[in-house]
Amino acid sequence: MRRFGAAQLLMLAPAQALLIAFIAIPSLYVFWLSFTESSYGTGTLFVGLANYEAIWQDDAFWRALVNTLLVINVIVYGELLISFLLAAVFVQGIPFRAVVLAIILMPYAISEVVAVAIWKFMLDPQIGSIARTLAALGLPDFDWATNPTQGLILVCLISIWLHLPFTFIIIYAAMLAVPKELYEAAKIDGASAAQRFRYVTLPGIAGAVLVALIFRYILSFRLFSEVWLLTAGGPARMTEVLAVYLYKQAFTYASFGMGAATGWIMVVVSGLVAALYVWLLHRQGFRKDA
Amino acid sequence: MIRTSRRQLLAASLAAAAPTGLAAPRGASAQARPSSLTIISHRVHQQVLSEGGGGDVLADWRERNGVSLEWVTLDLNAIHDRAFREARLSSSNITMSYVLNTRAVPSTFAMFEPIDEYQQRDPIEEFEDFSPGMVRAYTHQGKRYGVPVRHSVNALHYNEAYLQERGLDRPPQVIDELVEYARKLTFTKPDGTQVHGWGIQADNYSDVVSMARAFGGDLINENMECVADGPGMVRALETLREMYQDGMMPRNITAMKQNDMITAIQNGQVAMQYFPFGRTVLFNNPRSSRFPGKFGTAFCLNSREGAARDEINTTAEFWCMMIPRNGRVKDMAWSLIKEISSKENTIRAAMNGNQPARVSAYADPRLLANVSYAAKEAQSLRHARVPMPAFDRSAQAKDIFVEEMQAAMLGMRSPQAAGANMARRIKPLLPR
Repeated sequence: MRRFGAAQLLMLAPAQALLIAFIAIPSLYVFWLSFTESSYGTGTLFVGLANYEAIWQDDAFWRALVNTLLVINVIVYGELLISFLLAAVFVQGIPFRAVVLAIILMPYAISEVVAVAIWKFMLDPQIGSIARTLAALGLPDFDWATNPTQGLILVCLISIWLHLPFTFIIIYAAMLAVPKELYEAAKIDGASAAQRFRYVTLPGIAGAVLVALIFRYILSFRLFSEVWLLTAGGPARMTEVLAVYLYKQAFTYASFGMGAATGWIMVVVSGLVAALYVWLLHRQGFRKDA
Repeated sequence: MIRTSRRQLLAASLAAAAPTGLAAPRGASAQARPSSLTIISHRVHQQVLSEGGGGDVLADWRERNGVSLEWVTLDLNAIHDRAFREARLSSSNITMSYVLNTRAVPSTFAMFEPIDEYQQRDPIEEFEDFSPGMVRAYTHQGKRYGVPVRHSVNALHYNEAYLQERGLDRPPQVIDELVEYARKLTFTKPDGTQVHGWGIQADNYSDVVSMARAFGGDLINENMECVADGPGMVRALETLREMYQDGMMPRNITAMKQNDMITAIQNGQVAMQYFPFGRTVLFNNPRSSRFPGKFGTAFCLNSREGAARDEINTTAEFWCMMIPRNGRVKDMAWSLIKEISSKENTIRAAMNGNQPARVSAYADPRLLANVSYAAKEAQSLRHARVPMPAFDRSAQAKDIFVEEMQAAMLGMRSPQAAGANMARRIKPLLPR
């Protein structure tokens, strides 16, 4: 059995020190800040739970929370579904696999700012190529700028397009790792294609899917650029998400206490979601391997 | 082997430190005259001091002082965010910051240096020449904190080619004519371009507040009372709603930023809009506009009664230069501010496109000869009011206004309900 002593602790110390200096201490500072009223040019005043109370009573916060939960679920499961379909096609083997793979991965290399600017330009109702094509085909207008639902749909589309490669590559790699012998055995036993997917593929990639889900949930919770650059939360703050709400509190209104409180609420909510998936991951995969 | 006692070591250390101590004032002196000074501003502030008919305004000063200027140019919110964050530190490399009037509130003044002592010691010539209203905005508890440097008085910009094409021989003059003009100027060109008669900056309050004032209303009056639920503001919201629903404004207007609006005007997609006078240079620029020389300026729309009394209904915001309290070279900062503010340099900057804060600049023959709109701008400046007075929570008030205004315009709420919501939500933010 390996011994875990002072030497090992010493070797771990630099990494631990970095984590404490750059994550733990700032987090605790922000936690303390969330109980204060603080702005530029003013002192810091302890106000207890007043910031959390103000957020609780703010309609804009609840709208942002609902928007965030709706959008991240559409994004995460949309990406998952498309990734499943694409990966299933890829594992069967397709012509020009490397080229098609590069095309699918390409959006991940594009800056979010550039991507949103391009989509916004293409969907401009007056001069946008997509908007004009829709009009030429006699299809209804896509009013993403003034219709909050359509605005959020566009946010989902852009986000899925940008981040699909991440989920796809994880699921594709997991599918490739499922032993071929299992499929052959299932085939010999008379399993249909659907049964092979249900009883061989799914259990084989479940761990990878959960990892992809955890990462995408946590990253999507911070969704900011797509909304900020596309609609800035408008019209009438109807497309605001939590990260935009936080930004406004902290940097537009210079209310650092409210911003800090919003940040901690985001940490707790995304932590709860992540905890659920980690528990599932533990139950389904890691516990067996332990 | 040499044996060294603790006492010897201490003595040697002190001896070694002595020359360093002597050198310290030289080091401090070197720090007092750095080779470059950092300024936080908008791009336009740098431009008007360096490019155009007035030339490089600060070239002599830089040479005399042997320093270069590092301009950190940012967008409106980012300027103040960065300037205030730097000003909160124990010391900062920022020599001078440009601050907008809406941010000139007591909490801001606490981070900047009062200028009275500098003015006494090394005065800026004819300080009383600066617009008194602007100086007052940067005065707190009897102390002055900034030197006004630029204003942006709004005008009505209109596309003369479209006016002619649609059989209109003059721009609208009173608010009652707005809808009729905007409707006539809304049409589809033979090449398929949709022209909208009217545009506003839908992510800001200035244009709509100006409309509300023309209807006899306001957002926050000079007594710091929110009167957005009054008939004037409701009428402005009703007018906006009608114009939006009837296609007189671009469909995606709520997602259009200031630059998008400027491009739309230059491309001929919007026929009329409020913008500061100086923007006419951009609209008429042959390099970027499809209608060079075809844009005119007129006074912003007023009520019929106001126009009959020769009153001008316009809004203006303004900038001043401030010295951070934690700055390292405050004397240099003052010297720079003094140079920019001199009478001669005010004229030169104005010829580069700046809207001068000195009243006398508008009587200068060079300015009148070179800037076509100077006389009209001077007249507007005399009547201009800020669209919203400065107070600590003005950024939140602005957001509430924009939210309710957009909701009314898009038909999500009735104009009456939107006006009432503005008043109900903004009143608790106002100083008591």
